[in-house]
Amino acid sequence: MTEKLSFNKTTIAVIAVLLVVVAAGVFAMVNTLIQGQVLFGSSDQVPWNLLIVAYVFLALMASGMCMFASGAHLFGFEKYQFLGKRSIFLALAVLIPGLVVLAMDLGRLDRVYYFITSPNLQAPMWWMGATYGIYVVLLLAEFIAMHVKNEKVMHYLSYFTLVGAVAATSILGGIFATAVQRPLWYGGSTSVFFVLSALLTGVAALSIFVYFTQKSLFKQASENVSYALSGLSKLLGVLLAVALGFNAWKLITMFYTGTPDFAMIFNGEYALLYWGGVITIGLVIPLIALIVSRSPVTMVVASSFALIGMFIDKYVTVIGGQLVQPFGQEMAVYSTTVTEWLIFIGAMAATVVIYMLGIKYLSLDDHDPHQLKDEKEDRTAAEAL
Amino acid sequence: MGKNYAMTIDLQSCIGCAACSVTCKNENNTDDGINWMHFLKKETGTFPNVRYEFMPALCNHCDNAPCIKACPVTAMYKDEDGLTLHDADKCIGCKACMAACPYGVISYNKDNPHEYWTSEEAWSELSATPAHVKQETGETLPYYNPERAYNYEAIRSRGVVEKCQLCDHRLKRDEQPYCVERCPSEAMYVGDLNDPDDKIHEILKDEHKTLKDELGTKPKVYYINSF
Repeated sequence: MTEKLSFNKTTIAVIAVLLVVVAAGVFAMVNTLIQGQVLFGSSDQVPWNLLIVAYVFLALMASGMCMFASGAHLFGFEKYQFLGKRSIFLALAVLIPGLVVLAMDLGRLDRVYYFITSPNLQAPMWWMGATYGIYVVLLLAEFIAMHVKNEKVMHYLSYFTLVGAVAATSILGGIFATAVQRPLWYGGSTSVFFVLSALLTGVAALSIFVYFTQKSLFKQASENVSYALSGLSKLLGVLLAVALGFNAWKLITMFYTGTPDFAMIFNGEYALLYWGGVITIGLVIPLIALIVSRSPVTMVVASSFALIGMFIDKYVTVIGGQLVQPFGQEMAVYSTTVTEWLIFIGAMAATVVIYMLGIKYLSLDDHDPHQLKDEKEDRTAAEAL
Repeated sequence: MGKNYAMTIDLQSCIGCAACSVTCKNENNTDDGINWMHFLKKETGTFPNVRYEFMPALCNHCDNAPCIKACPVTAMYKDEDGLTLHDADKCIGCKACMAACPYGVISYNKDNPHEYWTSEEAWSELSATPAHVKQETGETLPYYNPERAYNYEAIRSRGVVEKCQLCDHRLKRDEQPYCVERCPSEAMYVGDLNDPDDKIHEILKDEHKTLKDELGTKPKVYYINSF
């Protein structure tokens, strides 16, 4: 699949629209740097806003794609290895805008060097920053190794990126898991769920990117892609089922605590978002769709539903977790603002633009060097016989 | 051995006047909407059997402070006198401390501090504009207290959090925090738990409780004689 790619008019128009969205996001960011966080809907009661939701969503998506790529390579799923380079590039294309989104929520971005000069090793947020920082560098190195076809370096880096993806994701969950007074966050299962959620989000996003890339850029349907989408749909189905189990147990354990947080998601303010968005749209509908059919179109529709659901899941977790106030005070209210949305949507548009540029200039559809090597070995072995 | 400061608040003496909250704002130059000393009001029951409760609430200077553990850059720290303090020069504004604090007593500076005093709009034709008043006083804000600058940013910048420092600048010169000093019913006191002769031990002989101590935060604001 090394044919020379050229964008048709529709693709160029899509890129132009995306660039406008990116520009709107950059405008919102500059505005935030000038005017401050008065442009955000957060408050002293709800300190973390849509940007944190967006960061968690994007960071998990990036980690999930990396987990899939490195896992497929290290565990020898050869048929999926052609997606390796694309997944690693996508992980970078998602994570870097995601980190920019996170940076926008820092009040004093100019002091971020204190992460290095004055670290607090007790703080999950420090570990999150450190692991994601190292992880981005490792991802970049792995991508460069793939690009220059240095098999050995790529192979060894796969171990590190796989461990890095799992570590970074669970530590991100740890920021929430250690907040002892917040029932929606507290507990080790939050970190484990973040890893599961990362893989689910990553697989869903990867399927969508793979499908549309194939559809818009290549004339012929690829057997490889159809096979990979079919395999990914099985994996997504399993992940959705496990996520349903996680949610069931979260509800059951919270039921016994009888906290206002439970009432909020069970039949209160966030019940519609939780039951409608997280459970029905995000988990049940895609799971049923995948049980009924695993065609590429079904897979893309199911993946889209799962992605929306995972985003709402992060919204309910991050925002909902902050709404209940101490000492029986009234529940806090939070509304997103246009600036928050522009930054988030701008980041997502940047991801797609970076990915499209990657397709054009970085030959993301190269075969995995390991796959080539394996094929060569297979041939040699067959000849020997 | 260093000191180990703790506060007592006698709820039967407290008359709910909120003077502690107002004087705290004066002493620490806090902006509109930002309070280091909060007060919780609760009305329960149905008429005629109603109950009204009032409770001052501030940073509990926990011995096992979740904010200190959550801060990624050690801007929240424990000082040698057992106070949980904030370094405004180091804070990056990530708000991890706010998310971690079980008491909801940390505030974030979303806007430039004291923007009100830059306004050119007067209340009426007869009054001066806030900007004019500020210009005449020659200070960042007309009621600026320079004493706060002794060991903390006198006015915190946009993009950082802030919270009660238990008037550590006053404790350093053996004065009580300003809220304690200005409480008309003398309901509050700050003493050294490490000093066996301190009056605080006498006060703590009465029935007392701390807030959310079941979370293991080891708070050091003791509420005495609750109703």
